Amino acid sequence: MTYEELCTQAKDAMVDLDEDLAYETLDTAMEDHADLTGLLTDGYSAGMQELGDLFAEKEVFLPDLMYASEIMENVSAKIEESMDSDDAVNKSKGTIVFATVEGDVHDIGKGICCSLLKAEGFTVYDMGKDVSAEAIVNKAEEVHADLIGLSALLTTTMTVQRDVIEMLKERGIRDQYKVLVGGAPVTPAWAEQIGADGYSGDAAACVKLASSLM
Amino acid sequence: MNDYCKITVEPIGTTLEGKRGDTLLQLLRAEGIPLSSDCGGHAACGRCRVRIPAEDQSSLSPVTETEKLILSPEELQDGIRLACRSRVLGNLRVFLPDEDIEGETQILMESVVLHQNGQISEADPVYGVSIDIGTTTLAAYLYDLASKKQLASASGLNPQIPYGTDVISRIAYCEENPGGEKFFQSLIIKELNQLIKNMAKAAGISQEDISKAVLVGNTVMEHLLLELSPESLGKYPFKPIVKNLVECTPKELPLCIHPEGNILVFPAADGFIGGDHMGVLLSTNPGQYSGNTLVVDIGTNTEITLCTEGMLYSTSCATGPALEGGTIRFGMRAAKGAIDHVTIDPVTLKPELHVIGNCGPKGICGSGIIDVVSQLAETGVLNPDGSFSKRFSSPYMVTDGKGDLSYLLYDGKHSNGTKPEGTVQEEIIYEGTVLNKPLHEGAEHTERILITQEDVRAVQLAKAALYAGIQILVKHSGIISIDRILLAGGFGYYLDKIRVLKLGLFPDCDPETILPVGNAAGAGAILALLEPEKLQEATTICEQIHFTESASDPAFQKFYADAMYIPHRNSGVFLGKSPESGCPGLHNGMLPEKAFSKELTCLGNGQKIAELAEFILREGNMDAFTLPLLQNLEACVYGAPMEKKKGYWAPGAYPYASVEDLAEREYDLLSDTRIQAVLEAIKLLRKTSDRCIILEAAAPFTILTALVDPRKIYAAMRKKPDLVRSLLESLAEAQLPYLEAALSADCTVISLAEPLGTISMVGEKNYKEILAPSILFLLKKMKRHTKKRLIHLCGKMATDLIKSGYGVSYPLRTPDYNSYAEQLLFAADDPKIRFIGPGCVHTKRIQEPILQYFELTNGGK
Repeated sequence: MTYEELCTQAKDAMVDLDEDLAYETLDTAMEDHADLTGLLTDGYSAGMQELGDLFAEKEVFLPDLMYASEIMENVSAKIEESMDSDDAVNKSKGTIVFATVEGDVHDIGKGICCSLLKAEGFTVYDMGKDVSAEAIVNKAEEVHADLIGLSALLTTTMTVQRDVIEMLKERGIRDQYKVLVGGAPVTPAWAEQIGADGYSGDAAACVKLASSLM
Repeated sequence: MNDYCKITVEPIGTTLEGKRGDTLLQLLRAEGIPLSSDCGGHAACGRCRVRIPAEDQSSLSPVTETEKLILSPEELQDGIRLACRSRVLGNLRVFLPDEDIEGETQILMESVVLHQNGQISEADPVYGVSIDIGTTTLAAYLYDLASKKQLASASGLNPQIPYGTDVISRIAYCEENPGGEKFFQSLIIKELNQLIKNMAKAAGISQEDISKAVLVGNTVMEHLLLELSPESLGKYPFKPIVKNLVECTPKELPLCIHPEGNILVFPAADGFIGGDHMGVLLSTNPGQYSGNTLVVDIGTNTEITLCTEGMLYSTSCATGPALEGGTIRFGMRAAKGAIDHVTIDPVTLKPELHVIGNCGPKGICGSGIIDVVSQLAETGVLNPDGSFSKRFSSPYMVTDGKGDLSYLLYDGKHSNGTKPEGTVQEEIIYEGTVLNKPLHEGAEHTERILITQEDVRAVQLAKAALYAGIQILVKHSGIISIDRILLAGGFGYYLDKIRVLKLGLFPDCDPETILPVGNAAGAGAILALLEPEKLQEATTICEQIHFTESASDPAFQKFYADAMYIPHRNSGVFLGKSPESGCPGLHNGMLPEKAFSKELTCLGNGQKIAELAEFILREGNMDAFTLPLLQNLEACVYGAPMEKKKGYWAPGAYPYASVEDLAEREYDLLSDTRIQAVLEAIKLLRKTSDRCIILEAAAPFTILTALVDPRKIYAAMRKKPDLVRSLLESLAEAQLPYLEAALSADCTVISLAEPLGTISMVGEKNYKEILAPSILFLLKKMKRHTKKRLIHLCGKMATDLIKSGYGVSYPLRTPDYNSYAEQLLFAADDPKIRFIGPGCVHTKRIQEPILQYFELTNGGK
């Protein structure tokens, strides 16, 4: 199979959510010693991006994206595993630290955002859920992040998004990062009120927002 | 400039003064005027819509960007604003939505039934009240404690509603407003005292004679009642300040009962498994049943307890308000004017509405929404993923203000007596009577009522959270089936059980095992009021409960995603009962007399097969070519003699004495001349026609049962299961290249039939371990070749695969064709559809424009 055919097949597998085909394609590519990082970008990620677009157009719904994210994670893990560390040449679009804030354990939306951002070419540090403002800011400093993504799914935990921004100000590093907020109860008005750099209502919009802020 | 403005609230007619710059929501709340706000004033829910007359619009702050997002252009044109975003700049009039003023909420009072044996003790106090404090509704009962007779009851809306309809919004209010819990306490106490006063008056007793009050509510309601900060309940790990039974007097909690009276507040098991759920468990007593019992209390936050072998497993899930009409575009509470039942005609899609009260429809409540979404999915209007199908058109499929597809439930214009030509006319059923004119001129909704894509999404999210919560409990308890579901809340009485199951709200089960138990939380409070030892029992239950935080369980995400499909993507492990296939197990695809009278001379001759197929098509007036003209060609190739049966050719005597004999031979179909002839016939037919070509194939077990006496096969399955399984796999491997070649030759449909290898005949264990592997092998391999082609699964085969958790089937809506073949061609054109079934390729007449399609699930992977 040519490299182009592999890419098309990988992309189709993602869009059709054909998990078996996605892994088979990867196996074939490995046997053929094809360019795996290229396949990840031009094949799998391209498919993931298309799904993201379909989601934005309301053509597909959450479970499809969740399923696709899972396939994507597995494929990326396999590719990373097979590569020597010096192979990992990254043409990253930017670095983002992403977390569901403290007091909140709802992280499905955040997970999808992270997958789509990775597909778009960002370096993503997914810190998981119930993460304190301090841990988020520390991580951002440690990895020299460009962006900080904060997800909150409860009216009662939205305030932690503000805490993160306040902490950045306290440390005098607010201008080094762009802060993105989102989550079911979060609104553009809230984002403005706490001085965030952007708000997005869903994963597809999050990717657009992140790209526009770079 | 005056700092205060005068606001006239219509249609109540009240006038109030408000500070310039305050939002309308703040002003209305301050005056205690009820206005829904699910989000508590954060401009997220869009429910605090009010209408401002054109001449007064300049007295409000300009329309915000948020409002432009939430409100439709028509609404903005009509002067609709969000009360939480509109700041008052001058004197004005504001119109509240109808729903917030009119209509007593339908709460089931008579559902509280207790079985008492009436033991009277003289030391007992005389009167007592029990109160169920719901986030939305309050229900109170007055009892004579000696006779245990109910003297009066009263209900009302929770006065905290204007500060957020759900508990999280109220917690947030307390965080933002120091002293919020004190304020909420004063609100609720005032309302409870009013209810107590009303009941005492109705019963003709003095409030002073009430010596006992038992209160039950969710943890947040109980915290606010006791003036405790609910803050810790709003953040992971959602722990309450107080879990124990609280006992106090009116000095501490100012209820208007006897000053020395006893006030008892129910204990809670955890942050989201509160006193109300203890009330439910106390009154329903799930431990009294054998087997596995699920207790479900649906609300904005749904509590679930699984009772098995004396163990109690509980979880709570964030179902949100959608199942109660919240967050739905035209949603409303189950009050006067709410559409509570809908029947949709599967062919025309015409809705028949049932409306609460003697009036026209104003909106739709929870039971109505469940009806609509369930039926739209069942008729294939919704795809399994919940998106509206774009494959067909209907006058009931319209676009909303934003241009998104929606289902038209009610067209307000038509009920005014005018009947525009070329559009639809609906009948509205009021209390069972069909009327063409509204009862009260102008009383009903004058705009259309739609079910939008977003409404469907809200229902999906809600039902997925509930279903995933149940799966988490099933996983933790290790059970494999559920025997009954006790459904708490008045809601349960109004639900259509079958539609609830078709929506996938609960695991598949016999609808008869879903038992509504009414206001069980209230019943628990009454029980505790009348039998003091019951409160101790509630404390014991609290200690027994194994609580799981469902959202933080690693398995939750997968369960949640699968459950978002309608009914669901993975049928799971706990099927109680699933549908039987309607197929009698015999192929009724008889050949026309003229064709059948010709001997089997065409066998092995592609040209002749094609000619005969064309002849049959013409003579039988059919829409598809069906090959290979005899049943079980595969068995024929392996040596089964063909016999003339009534109207078709089929295998006769068994050519092999035993399974072992058969296992010794080599299998090859593709190189056989009879097989090659069929493939040639397909090519010949395709050259001259683009009609549907169906190739009937026998599934491996059906081939086997034509070669060896089934009694011997069943014996071998017991003694040498591995031999039989590998034999079937060899048959499947030999069959695959033949079927693949047929697909390459542009055969439209391969129909796989397994009339004999059913679960009911071989048993579930044998089916899964011996039969299923070969079938799944064929399906998975063939799936790759099915773009624009289909694999058709017979009724029995598909039903068994679904029953065993290997697949799911969904309805696919097709245009209104006359023949099944046309439906199949339509389905073949859809790249996402690969398997059709349960179905029968011999379907003669189509009843409905709906076809079932099938997908393999993870269980089948």
